[in-house]
Amino acid sequence: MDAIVSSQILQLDISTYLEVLVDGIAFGIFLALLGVGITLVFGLGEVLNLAIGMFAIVGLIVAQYVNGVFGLPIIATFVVGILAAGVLGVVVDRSLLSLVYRSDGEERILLGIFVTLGLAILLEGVLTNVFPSRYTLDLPYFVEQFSPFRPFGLQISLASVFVIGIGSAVLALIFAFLRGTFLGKVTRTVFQDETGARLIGVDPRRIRALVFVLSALVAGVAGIAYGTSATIEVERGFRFTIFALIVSIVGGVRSIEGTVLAGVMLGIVATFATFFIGAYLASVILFMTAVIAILIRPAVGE
Amino acid sequence: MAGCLGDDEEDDDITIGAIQPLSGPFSPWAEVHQAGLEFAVEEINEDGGVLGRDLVVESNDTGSDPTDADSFFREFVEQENAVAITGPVSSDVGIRTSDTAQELQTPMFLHMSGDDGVISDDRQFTFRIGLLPASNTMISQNQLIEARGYENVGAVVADYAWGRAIEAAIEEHVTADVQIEVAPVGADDFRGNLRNLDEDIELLLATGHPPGNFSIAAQAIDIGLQPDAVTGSGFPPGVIRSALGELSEEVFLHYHMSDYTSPEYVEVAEAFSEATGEPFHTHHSYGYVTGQVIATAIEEAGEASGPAIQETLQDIEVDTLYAEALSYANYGEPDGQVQIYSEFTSDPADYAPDEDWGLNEVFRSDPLPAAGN
Repeated sequence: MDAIVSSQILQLDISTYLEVLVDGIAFGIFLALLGVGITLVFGLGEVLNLAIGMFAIVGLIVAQYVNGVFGLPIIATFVVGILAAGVLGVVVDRSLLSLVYRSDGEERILLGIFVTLGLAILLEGVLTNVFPSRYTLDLPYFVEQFSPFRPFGLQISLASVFVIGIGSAVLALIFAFLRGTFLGKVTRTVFQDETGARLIGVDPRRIRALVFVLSALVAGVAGIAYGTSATIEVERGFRFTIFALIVSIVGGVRSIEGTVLAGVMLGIVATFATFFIGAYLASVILFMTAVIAILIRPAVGE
Repeated sequence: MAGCLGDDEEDDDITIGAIQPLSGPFSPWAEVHQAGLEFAVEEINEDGGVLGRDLVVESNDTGSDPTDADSFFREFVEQENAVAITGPVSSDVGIRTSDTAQELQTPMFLHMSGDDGVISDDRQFTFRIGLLPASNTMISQNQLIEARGYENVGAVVADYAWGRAIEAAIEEHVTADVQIEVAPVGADDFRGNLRNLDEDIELLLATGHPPGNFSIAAQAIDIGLQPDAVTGSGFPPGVIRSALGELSEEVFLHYHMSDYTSPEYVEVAEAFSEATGEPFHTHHSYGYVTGQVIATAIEEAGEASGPAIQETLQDIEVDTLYAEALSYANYGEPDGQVQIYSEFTSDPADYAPDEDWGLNEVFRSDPLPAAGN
């Protein structure tokens, strides 16, 4: 096996590495988006949202459904899909999470796990029966017109370019919001010191609601972006949640910067591992990388 | 008393049990198969039924769970006196219920379930209707390869029974040089596998990876591979179109046994459309053919019993909506069937004017021998 892998690595030229790297960065951005969704909510309210993957699926399916039924321009369907995930976030926050936030400490964490896990199972069951097929989205025309995309002779996946572009833009917006806006600074205040935030008149519950909806919107973006590169079925949602958890834990469950870095790193590692070794061992390598990263990372944002 | 009981039995309907995955990921198959089956039964009953008795379809939702499928199979036979069962799509349900069919001596007509092992010396009561096994499928795809002169072929197969069977069949039956990549069943990113293939592949075989065949087709195009065609798996065409959209018209080949250009098919499709308001596509026809086959076997046997149906089907040919009359060898393996490959177009069939797509036949295999020969 080692000889085969070594031989394979040596025989490839730089262009193949670059092509795989682009795919890896795209997958990493997707992981980062999901991970940020987990980190935002856990960091602020100590709720581990195990339904984050299903929010991504909702975004994708609604976008695809609207595109098929109403024939709207693809960008419009993306917006509708993202908003659908956001609306679901509002509903969940106003209903299930209101129950969870009544408790605190370890009880809230456990309740949050059970509630969101139950929500994920419910959503998967309902959506599988209503949408049992496989779903994908077209790239917007202004992207697709560059197909086949061969800059400098490289075979670059346009879908990967799209995921990187839209994912990076969304992550940049999140950072800009948290650092550059008053509401963002208030959010960070609640993140860092909830008691102190209360003392200056901030209502943490409203901030948590805002952040939960934001995380749902981000998950919707992730689902739609990923749906332009693969054909997805509803059952994939739980796997998305697993990825999100890994990334969030590796990045530090309260560190958005760490989560983004972890996502991109793990995405690149997983993609190269899949290419050179195969998907099964790539999963093992992904988990090993996560464990090593947790062991050696500096304590950030905790 | 016995005579009275006998008269009551002759007046009873003849029950066909449908153990369909009406919920879950295989429900798109079940819905169209059930609709086709019920339409066939309705037509047969309007024509006087079978042996003077009406056919009745009893169905239950298995959710593609083998244990539930087995339970419903037994319930239909033991409580409803079903003389035949149909419905399985996934191979694990097919294998489990093949054993049930053998135990209860009740013929089962598969919708899909292409695993080679569903029919054997120990599983003599299972009959294929909609999907030929891996060996036949690769023989037909090799015929396509030879007809078009392809020399550079790539394949992505899934790491489970069907995928490995396709891999073995490629190695045995395909004469061209085929680069085979193996990917997990649950994979949805195949770009790494696809980048390992030659840039100049002329044909991409995705038949061996049903869960991923749409992603494989789309991602192959996305990274700049330009095969003439991608052969898919046994999906209903509506599902293919829904998953791939207009990309389905670029490269994807749908393979099937239904001859949708034949006058017989068109007549049934028009009648179905008029009766139900829905289009009649290739997988509807698998359900319809199931009804035809069961009815014909009962008539020829002169009795409505599982063993009689099973025995009769070894000796008869049934004219159906397929290109060739349906006959069986080696128990339930179709003998002499033809696989047809169709591309998607934007021209709907006359009998499905509300669709925004249609099919155009591009290749027809030679008659394929029964598997196991």
